[in-house]
Amino acid sequence: MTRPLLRQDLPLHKRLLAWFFDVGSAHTFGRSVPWIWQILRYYTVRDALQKLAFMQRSYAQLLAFFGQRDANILVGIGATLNGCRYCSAVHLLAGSLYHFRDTGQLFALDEAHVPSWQRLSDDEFLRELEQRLLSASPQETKLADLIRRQFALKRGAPVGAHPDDPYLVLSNALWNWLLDCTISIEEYADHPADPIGKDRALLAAYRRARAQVRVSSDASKALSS
Amino acid sequence: MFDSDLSIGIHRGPDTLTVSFAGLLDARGSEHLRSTIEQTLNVSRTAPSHVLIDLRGCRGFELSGRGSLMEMHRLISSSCQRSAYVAERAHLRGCMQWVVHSLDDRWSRICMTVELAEQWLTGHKDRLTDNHDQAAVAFRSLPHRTPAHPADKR
Repeated sequence: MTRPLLRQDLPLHKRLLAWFFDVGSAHTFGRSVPWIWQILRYYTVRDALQKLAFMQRSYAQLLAFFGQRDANILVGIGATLNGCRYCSAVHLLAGSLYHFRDTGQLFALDEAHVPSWQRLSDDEFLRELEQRLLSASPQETKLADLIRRQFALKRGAPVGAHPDDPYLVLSNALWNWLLDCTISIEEYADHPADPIGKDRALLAAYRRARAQVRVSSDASKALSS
Repeated sequence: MFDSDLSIGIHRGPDTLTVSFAGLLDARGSEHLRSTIEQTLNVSRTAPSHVLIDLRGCRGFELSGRGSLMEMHRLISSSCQRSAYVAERAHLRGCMQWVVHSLDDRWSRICMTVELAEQWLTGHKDRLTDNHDQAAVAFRSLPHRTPAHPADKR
């Protein structure tokens, strides 16, 4: 039985480049991104650099169009639907951090719920998201609409019926492609894949606030059972 | 052995072998699915061009089933040109994506609907190229140089 390709199986020049990527992503996000070397598994160095540059240009468009919070949330939801725990957790966390920084409140979707959401049927998951978002704040109607449309497009709905479609299609397509680089990551994703991860104080405050809510939620579940 | 909670349906079309599975993909369920596919492929005079595994009736999977799923997909990928899995639960899609990724099979895709799977089976590109091309087409359709989102101007 063949074993999956490991990072140390790459030729020396690719391992060196992967190391540069590690340093660069740690500088940008506060921690190195564990999937970048996988791109070098599939592509030549030149092609890998081109693909990464394309990815960066495309993602910049998503951030500019949706805003940092919603772009990260939409990417996180798309990744959750793909079955990728890493991308879903790191982007939902990044989106939640922007929400926390800007409002002082916790976002309605907790990245720790990703594994349980992924066990739901797609329809159940969509209902769960809508219920959580809309019960948290009526202002989340627009995001709930975007997520509903994102689901429809991922299920093959014709593009163009909605002005946000081109951006949602780009987001879905990019992370479908990236999935081949991220699906094998088994380490726990507790750091955002976003420059906001460099704000250690914010991250610590967010974790404290989330932990409090998780503890009280667990306690109320235990009381009701 | 009779497995009351497992059910497997097989349908052979002109080009596509469709296998529908209902139940749980634990060690027993996965092995049952693998052996059924092996038998089906062995008795076939000609290998199908495409294989579609329909997991919409699947309740979930457990890690204990992953080895059999790997073996099953190895059989499928060595017997046909293209294959697709359909699942309505993200963790099943993730599991099968992990399997095809680990076996380095670029001619298989994990889909949310049967329609998308059928569309994939009749295509010609490998999965990575197809996904990247779709992203490139989507990027070209954007109004470029979108200004920064108002909420992010801080």
